[in-house]
Amino acid sequence: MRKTFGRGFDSRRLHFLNKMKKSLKLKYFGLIFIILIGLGFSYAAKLRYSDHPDFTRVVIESGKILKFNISKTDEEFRIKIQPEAEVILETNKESSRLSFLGVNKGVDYTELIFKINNDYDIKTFTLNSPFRIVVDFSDKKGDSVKNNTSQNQTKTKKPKKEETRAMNNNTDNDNGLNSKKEIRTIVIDPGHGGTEYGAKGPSGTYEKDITLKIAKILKMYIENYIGLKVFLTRNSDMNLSLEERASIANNQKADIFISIHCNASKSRKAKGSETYILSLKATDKQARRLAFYENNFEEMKDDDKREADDIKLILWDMAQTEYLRDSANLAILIQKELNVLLGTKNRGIKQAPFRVLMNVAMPAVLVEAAFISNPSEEKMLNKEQYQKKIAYAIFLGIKRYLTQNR
Amino acid sequence: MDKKKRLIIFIVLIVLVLSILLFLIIGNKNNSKKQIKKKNIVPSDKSELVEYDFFYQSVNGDYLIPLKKKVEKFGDMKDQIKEVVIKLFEGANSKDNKYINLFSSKIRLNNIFIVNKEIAVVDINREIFTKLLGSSIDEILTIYSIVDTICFNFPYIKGVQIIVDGRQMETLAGHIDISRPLRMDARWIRPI
Ligand SMILES: [Zn+2]
Repeated sequence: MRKTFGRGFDSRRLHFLNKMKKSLKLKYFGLIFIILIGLGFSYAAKLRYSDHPDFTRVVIESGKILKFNISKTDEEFRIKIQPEAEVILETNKESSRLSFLGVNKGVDYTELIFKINNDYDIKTFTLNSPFRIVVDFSDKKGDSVKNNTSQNQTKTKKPKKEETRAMNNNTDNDNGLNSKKEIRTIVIDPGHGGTEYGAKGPSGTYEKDITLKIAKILKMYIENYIGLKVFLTRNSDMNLSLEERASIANNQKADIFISIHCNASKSRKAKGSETYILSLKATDKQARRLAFYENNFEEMKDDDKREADDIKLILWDMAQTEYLRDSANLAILIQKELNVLLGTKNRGIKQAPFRVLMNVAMPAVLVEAAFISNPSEEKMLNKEQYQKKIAYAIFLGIKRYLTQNR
Repeated sequence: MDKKKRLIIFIVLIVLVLSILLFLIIGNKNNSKKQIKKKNIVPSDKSELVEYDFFYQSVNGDYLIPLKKKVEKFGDMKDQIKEVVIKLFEGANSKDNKYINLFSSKIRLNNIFIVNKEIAVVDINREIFTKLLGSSIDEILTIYSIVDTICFNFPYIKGVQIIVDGRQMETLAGHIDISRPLRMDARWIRPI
């Protein structure tokens, strides 16, 4: 029988839908039109993972049967799914065995890339209603590497990284995702400015002033230590629209875009630094409810399947889409340095639909440097030493990214 | 002569300001009356209550946590969503101090429209700006408190678009794009 999780949808709600009014006011037709244009259809592949005492389970769920094959190197695990799908990451906890790096999109496939922390026994199988690919990463006990992948899977014979890359280049050359482009120009965007001062600290510090200071220091570090070209979207206290910021980066043909902000919260306990990348948020709600209640996915039956089949997604046709994987890599590296250097609580990398990141056609991240709303962090943010620390952490992250991309 | 003219202008100005104020107050009253009126027309059963999950900011950090609250049951989905959003804006009002209020009593729901049977357009008054801190996380949680509460409780709603006083906005505070409908994002939600 069907299980209801929390406020499940039931026949009562169906009843509401039938009664739904269809008349809409004329003056909202413009708006409706815009929304309709924004509607599109695509398949969703929902990705989630969970840690268990001796294995980590990765589940890719789709309303449609997917073909897939896997490949593995010492550090990476890749799973290529066909046809292409919009990957929605549903787990926000970190796994002790792996981390999801992002996707690589081809003409008719999507490749999900994971960083693996160890050499695990990998077991793959599929489940139906809804269709799921399940990959278990088990801690090695002996030497036996079992592998009973159901479909055209690649043997886990550990191809060298170069081989994997070459294989990808063959299939990918039309979207240029993997073509390593030399990094020459970086655009740094100090958040807010002018009359738009952003958040304000308890003793009156404006976000816009701190972001400009950190940006200038970061520019100096990059130019002096690695000799790359750096442009600031604003060099003084001035108003600048989000579109202008993105277009400055695009016009400079920048290879990296970094927007700098300071956070603020109504929660007095909030502190620490975070790195964000763009979220291409689109999902159906049943899955979300599941993620929330952390239920057993294998119990999903008829109704859930019907819902999964019914997924309609909004297509986010944004310039940033194809750089998201690189953005995630960069964000992870910057966040690591922020955690180490500042000794702040790890807030991890996060995703949200930041308008300034949407239209930049290059790897792009947004750094939230400390909480200006937190009195002690506000005090620190005003000190040049701390501004330098933050700038240096971001700088180190960028440097790591450069070596990784060489 | 000149003095007289000035006095007249001054009086006219005062009258204008007063009438505008009066208009605004009456307008607001009418609005809330409308909402109450609707309530009285549609309820299917007398004072039948339904329980929903509301997502409010946690005092412990920067995410949303659920709170179950009961609202009056409506036969019409749009009215039901409206009721849930009005309840959401009232704040957690919970005895345990686990929640932070993201909204204020002045924030009003102007209206809700359902587009294409799956997008809820939520029209909020401009008071929403006064409660925002101007930071990313505050903007994110304010938006997803609304989006997640609606999408979580009403499975047919696949996306929520927030507009302010009938106007489409780019962002509420300079970070998060709300020019298009947003999907539920449970990554901002933690179980209690
Ligand atoms: Zn900001």
